[in-house]
Amino acid sequence: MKKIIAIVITLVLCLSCVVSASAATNTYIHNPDGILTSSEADELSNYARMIERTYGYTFIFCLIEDSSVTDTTEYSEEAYYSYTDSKNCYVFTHNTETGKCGTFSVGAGEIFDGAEGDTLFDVYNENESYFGGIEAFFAAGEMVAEKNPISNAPQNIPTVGATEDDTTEAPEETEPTTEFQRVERTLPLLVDNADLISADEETTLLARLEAFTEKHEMEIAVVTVSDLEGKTVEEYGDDFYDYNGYGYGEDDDGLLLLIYEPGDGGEREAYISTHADGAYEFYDAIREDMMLSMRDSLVAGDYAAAFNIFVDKAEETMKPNVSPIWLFVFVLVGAVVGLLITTGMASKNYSVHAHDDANLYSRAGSLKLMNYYDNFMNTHTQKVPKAKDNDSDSGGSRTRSSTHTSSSGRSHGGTSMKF
Amino acid sequence: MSTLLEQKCPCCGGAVEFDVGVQKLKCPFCDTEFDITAMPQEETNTVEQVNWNSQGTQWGAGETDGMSVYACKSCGGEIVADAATGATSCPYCGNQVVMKGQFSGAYRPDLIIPFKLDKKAAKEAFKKHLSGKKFTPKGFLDDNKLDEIKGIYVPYWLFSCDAYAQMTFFGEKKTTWSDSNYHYTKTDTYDVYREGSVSFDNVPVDASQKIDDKLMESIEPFNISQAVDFNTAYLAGYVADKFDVDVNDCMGRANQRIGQSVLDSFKHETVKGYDDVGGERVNALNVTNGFYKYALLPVWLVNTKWNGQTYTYAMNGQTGKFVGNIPTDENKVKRIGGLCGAGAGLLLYGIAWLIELLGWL
Repeated sequence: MKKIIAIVITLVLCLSCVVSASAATNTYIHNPDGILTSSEADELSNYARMIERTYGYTFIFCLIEDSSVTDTTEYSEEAYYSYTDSKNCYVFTHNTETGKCGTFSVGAGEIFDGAEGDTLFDVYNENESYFGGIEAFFAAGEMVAEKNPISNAPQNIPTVGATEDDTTEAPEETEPTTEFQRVERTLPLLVDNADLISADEETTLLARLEAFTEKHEMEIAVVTVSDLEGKTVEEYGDDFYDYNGYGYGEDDDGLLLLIYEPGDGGEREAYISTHADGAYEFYDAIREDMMLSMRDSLVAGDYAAAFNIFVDKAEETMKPNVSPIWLFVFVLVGAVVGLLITTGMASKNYSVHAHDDANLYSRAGSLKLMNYYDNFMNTHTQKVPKAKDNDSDSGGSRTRSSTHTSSSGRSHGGTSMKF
Repeated sequence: MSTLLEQKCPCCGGAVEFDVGVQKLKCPFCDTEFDITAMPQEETNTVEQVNWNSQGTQWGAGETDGMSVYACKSCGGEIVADAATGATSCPYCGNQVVMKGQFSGAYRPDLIIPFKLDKKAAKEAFKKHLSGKKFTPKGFLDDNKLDEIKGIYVPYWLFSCDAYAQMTFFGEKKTTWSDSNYHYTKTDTYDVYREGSVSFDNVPVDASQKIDDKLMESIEPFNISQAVDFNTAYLAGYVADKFDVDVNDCMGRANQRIGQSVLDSFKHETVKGYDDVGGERVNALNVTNGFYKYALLPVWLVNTKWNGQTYTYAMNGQTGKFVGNIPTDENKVKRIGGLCGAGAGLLLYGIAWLIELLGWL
């Protein structure tokens, strides 16, 4: 049950480049009639995407040559509904066939309905080429956007009847927010930035990771880096997990193995980060066991082997298992209870008992009280101090499973090892 | 040597027996029924009511432990019976005989409760008593024994009195409350004194040495209001013993039971309003207006031996209450208890596995 939310956020990590490189949507430039070349369209698209990412304004430019389109305003509106869910959008359509231009704006994009929009049109018009014109259009739009910032809100699908709240907080570049915004994971389960294993090994390992994730409803990830960007291996691991949206389901259950290989003979480090159910299942002792099992392979540099050991251990942990201790407990308790029951049943065999009283023979109503007193002798008050609640453990109530809070404010289990 | 009394049917001369169904004497040969009063009577004797405390006229001291020899009136055979036997069946010809002297003079019972339930009912009750007991050793329930059930009139001393007592107790009243730091309990202790009397009617004590006292106490109560004046005719067809435990020896048990009852009634009915009552002490216990009666009460008895031990079963011949210890097969108890319990444990473990597999843990 995942809600698909398209979120635009500003990321500190340089991975945004990777993301943008792999994503190749053409939301921003519509070139159905081929007036622009595809590389021109791509470049303009990237520019518009950058503006959207940076300022939250979505610009859409439609360059058409179509005699059947008479109402460019309507065309712009349709383009908006077809191509984007953005709540702050400005659509501009130029039909070169008719020479007509039309616009459509939503949310903060409405700023361009007035003088600002005219500026944009002018710079577009002045330019000799379409490409240059659109570029200038966007540049001018960027300037306006810069002067009129909107909060970088996560763009929600407008729901019927819901209050459209444009002012929800988003995590800023440096400050952690009070409420962590969950992200959709776009990275794969295996991220080998430090290039520690070969492509073949990557394929097989990735398949294992994905199979595990599906089977146990818990995301398992392996990440290798050669640069911690000034963070400790714990911080990096936790942040990588949180800000890249790792974790299965609503609670983001999962575990992540991070390998730091500085490359120049420096000290290498491994770190396992767990979250939610992952932290529950892979508690301290289990993580330590994983680390120790991987140690030899890691020291030897056989990372593929180490990662496979990691997945092996994870599989083993997730296997349904009721500790055999319970068998003894159940059988023992069962035998004792059974014995008690049968002894109770057998005791019914004995019906001969002395009657130590003559209650059956006392004459009803013959009890006569002749004299009595109830004299108060003494009183005694005892006070027992109330049990005070102890301060609850900060990291969780079970000693076997310790957790810490990461920069996102979420709690993770973690174990690190240098090798 | 005492003479034997046989109840002879005036119609056919056969030996009549007391029939439970019609509560009359009936001749098994010609089926004629006779009212008790129609048969020739034994000499009557008034029974003295003795005040305990005054230690007045003593009943006779305990009998000598010897045996007596009687001659059966029907066949002339010699019957050897112990001193207490009052009525029995002749081992040679099966006729019921009553040893005359056993129930005359000082030994004449004041009361008797005739049998209300016959041998058939007794056998049924015995069977029922043994059924449903899962841990009886195999082979214990044996039909042979059922026939050996005997109807016997057991001699009892019945004690009635007013019991006067003085008692003290500790009574406690508790109040509790709390504030933010403490829980408080305040206990008020009282010295409680009670003085009064309770009356008792017909507290029975088994007056036969041969028969286990505990067994007899277990089949209580008898409804003494249904007792009638003694007549030897009732004995016909049953075994009867006269008492061989002196009344003074029985008194101790009666006092014990009465004392306990007095304590209980005082404590539960007169000491009220306390959260806790304890430390009871009986300062005085006196019996006044005490008298005792000698009664024969009907009991069906059967003995059986198992593993070298004797097990006796008794049924109250008036109310039908059946008691008697049944041996238990200890090994069976342990075996079944342990195995079934362990099996249940195993099942629970399996269920835990199943739950784990289904991912709910």
